Amino acid sequence: MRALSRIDKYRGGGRLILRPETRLLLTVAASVSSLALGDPQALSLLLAFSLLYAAAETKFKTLLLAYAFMGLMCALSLACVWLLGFIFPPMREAPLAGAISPFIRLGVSLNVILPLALNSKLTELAMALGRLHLPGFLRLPLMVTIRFIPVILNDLVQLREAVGIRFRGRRGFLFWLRHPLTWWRVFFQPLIVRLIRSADELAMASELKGLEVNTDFGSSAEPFSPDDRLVGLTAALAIILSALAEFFLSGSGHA
Amino acid sequence: MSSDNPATGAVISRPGFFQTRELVTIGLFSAAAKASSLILALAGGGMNPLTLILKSAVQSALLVVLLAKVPRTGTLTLSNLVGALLSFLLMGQHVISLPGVMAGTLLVELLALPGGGLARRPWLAVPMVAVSELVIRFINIGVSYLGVREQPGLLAMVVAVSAFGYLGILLGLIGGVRMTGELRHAGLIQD
Amino acid sequence: MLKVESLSYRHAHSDRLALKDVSFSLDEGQSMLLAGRSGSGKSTLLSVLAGLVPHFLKGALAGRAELDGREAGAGGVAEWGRGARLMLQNSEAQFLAGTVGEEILLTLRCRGVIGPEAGEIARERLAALGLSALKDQSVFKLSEGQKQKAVLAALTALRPKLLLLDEPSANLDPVFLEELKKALWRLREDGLALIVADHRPYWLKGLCRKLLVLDDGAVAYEGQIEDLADQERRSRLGLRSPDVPEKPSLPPPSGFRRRAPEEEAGFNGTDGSDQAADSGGEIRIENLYFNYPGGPELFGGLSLTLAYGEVTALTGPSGRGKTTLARLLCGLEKPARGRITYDGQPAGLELAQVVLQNADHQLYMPTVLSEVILAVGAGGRTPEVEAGARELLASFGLLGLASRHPQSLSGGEKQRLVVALGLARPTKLLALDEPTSGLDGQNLALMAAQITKAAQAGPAVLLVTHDLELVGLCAARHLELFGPMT
Repeated sequence: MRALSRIDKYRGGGRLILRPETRLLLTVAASVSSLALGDPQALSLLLAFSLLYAAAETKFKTLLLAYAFMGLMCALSLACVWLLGFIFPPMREAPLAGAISPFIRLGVSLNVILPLALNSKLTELAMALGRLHLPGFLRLPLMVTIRFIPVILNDLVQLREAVGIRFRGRRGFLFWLRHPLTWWRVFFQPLIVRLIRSADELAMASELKGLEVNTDFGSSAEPFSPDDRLVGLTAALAIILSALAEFFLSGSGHA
Repeated sequence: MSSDNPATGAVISRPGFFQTRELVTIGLFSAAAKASSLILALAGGGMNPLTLILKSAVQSALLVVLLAKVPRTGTLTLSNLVGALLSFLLMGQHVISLPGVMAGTLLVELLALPGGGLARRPWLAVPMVAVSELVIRFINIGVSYLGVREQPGLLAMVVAVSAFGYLGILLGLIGGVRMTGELRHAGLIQD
Repeated sequence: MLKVESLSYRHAHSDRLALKDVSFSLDEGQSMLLAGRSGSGKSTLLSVLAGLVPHFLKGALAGRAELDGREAGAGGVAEWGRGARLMLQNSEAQFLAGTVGEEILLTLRCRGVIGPEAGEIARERLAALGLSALKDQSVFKLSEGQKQKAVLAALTALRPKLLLLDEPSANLDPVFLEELKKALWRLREDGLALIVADHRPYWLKGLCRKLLVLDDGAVAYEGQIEDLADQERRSRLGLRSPDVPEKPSLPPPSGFRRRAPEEEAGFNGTDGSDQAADSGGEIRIENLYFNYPGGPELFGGLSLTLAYGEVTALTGPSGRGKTTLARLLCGLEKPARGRITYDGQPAGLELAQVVLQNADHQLYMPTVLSEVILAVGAGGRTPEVEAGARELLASFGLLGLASRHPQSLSGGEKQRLVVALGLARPTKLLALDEPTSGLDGQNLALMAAQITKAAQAGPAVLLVTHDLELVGLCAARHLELFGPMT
């Protein structure tokens, strides 16, 4: 049964062999650090390190697409600010240079989220959760959630097809736009009914199994890999360097 | 009032800690909220106002039905916590706002406690969801402000997204109440 | 070992007894078929024996059910579950872990068995059920039959004394049923007592000797499974036949032809299968090839014609493309090569009606009547439409349920309703995917009669099914698929 917890199960699509916990911790650390830092140069340092991590874990094309999307969102946000400037003139007076820090923060978030979202399988995350020693009342619903998202996604696809068959000839975006209540009924009711039935059956099966709120799901793992340690140490170094940059440069960096 | 579905083994509400069956139900509803929001985002694009409204409507309707199924103090908080943790696990989102969101939701639940809470007054589910979602949005805007503090104008997008989302929440409340009534008629949720 | 004496049970919030004075006994290593009409109390009896009453299901229980002298449910659901285990119909709901091996380990962990001992037990159970190669397989990649075997492996990991199975055959093809039967046989040899509640007695012959028939919650007959050979008894009790032919002796669809050799194409068209493709039928499949992305090529250049007014049965093991063929015929999928035409027109949803397997996904309205009205009358609710809807409901024995919420119906009632919805509007092809998986003998006969009547009214009917009894009752032609897994 040793095979059940082999390290290769933690290898997602990334080039590094990282446990999901490492990716999760990196995401938290990067989010907190980027919010705490305000100096664009310190933030840029963090962005550079996080970009290295993203490049190692994500395909170049995907990264490029994500950055293009982020650029679009930033442009939209700036357009909003510009439009709001006509309503609230003081907003037009705010220096546009001030906008750079928020966008760097966005970049940092993107760099750590992409590897987490693209390289972590749901089952791996579920196993990681089992090792996080969360309280049972939180661990159990989270495990159920992760286990059943693909099931419900599949259900929703089937439901869409069933509705398409039943409402053939009346399909299409415009039909549903004209009949929002019908849309609500035909999509939402079967989903809810399925949920309630599944919840009852799953609860019954869980109790028959002897599953209790505090049952330890007991997923064991190999020790952290060299990649885990390398990435962890680099992240710590990046945060320390950025904090030092903030400390020494903040006078000239931001108001 | 607490409920008990003999035909299907539905949730029984008792004072004290959550039971396995209640936690399983909360988990499944959270999975449905996440799955439907993924499907809607894929179908309509994540930032499309219609998608934003629909995603939130489905989410709040699911919450109303969940609170009818598991009518106990803590259900709303736990459900929101699971949803937020899941967003973090899958997309790295909302990690900073998590503590505030939980505190806000728990406060709403505590405010509903005098008079017996949800178990005695099932209709409380609607104001509880409405207020807690409002609190969550304010906290998220607050955290977003930290991220764009150098150029507060950038908050406009966040506020617009939150407003569309909240409109969806209000519409979903109506749908959720109607659906709960129908589920009671079908015997899937019992008084 | 198991003693049930004068057991009666009434659900909470209900006025009528779900079980009335039920008594029987079962010894170690014995197995029993629990039969009866839909709603006769089979699942309720299993729930009581599994210890779900009164801890999980509330209600009033009278009489006694004892396993080795301990009263049912003693010590709570989990504690009682050490001795008696229940396999639910929905195998999906019985998995919490992500893989087959993890599921067995989790089941053991729930009972406090961990470490090397748990690993050893899991390995042994996987081997015993032929699942060793699937131990790291994700639950999502398992077929229905594999899921059931995996659930069985987990349920029997700690050697319970009594195993209760609720409708295990409902979603299984004959091949997996045979495998399940062998697995259950081995468990019985090890001394496990079995109670199998099922509508299909044929696959249990040789495994179960005892027979207990419930009717309206009471024991209506107690005897041996061979007693079901008596047709009068069967129809009085609403049961299915214990004798179903392994292969229907029906001709293949007219014009049946395949380009690839038979083994490669994966068809069994019985005799006369190489007729020319230009017979008088109107729905024509010509030189059909199809594959899902990354999947094997299916159908090997199949050609055939479906005649209007005729019922054609499509059978074969799960995952071999039966439903895919129905979907292609209805225009839900597009052929990779070849074509499908209705009187020369390309196949499309506007020409066909398909009734999918999952009834819950096909019911939307607040009452049964409004559900049928929605299907009958595209133009809204008029007295004519309502009269037509009522007539349709009456023909499926559902008129008495017209004001009920569709989701409050039993599984068998919902199956009848969705087939009725499929017949609501005229169509050229009616494709029915497993329309009888949860039906008792009485409703099976009713469904077969309605399908035959529907075909006589005009459309070609395609039955995708594992139910050979249904095939025998209403199909005129038969095609078996056994190609590569989709």
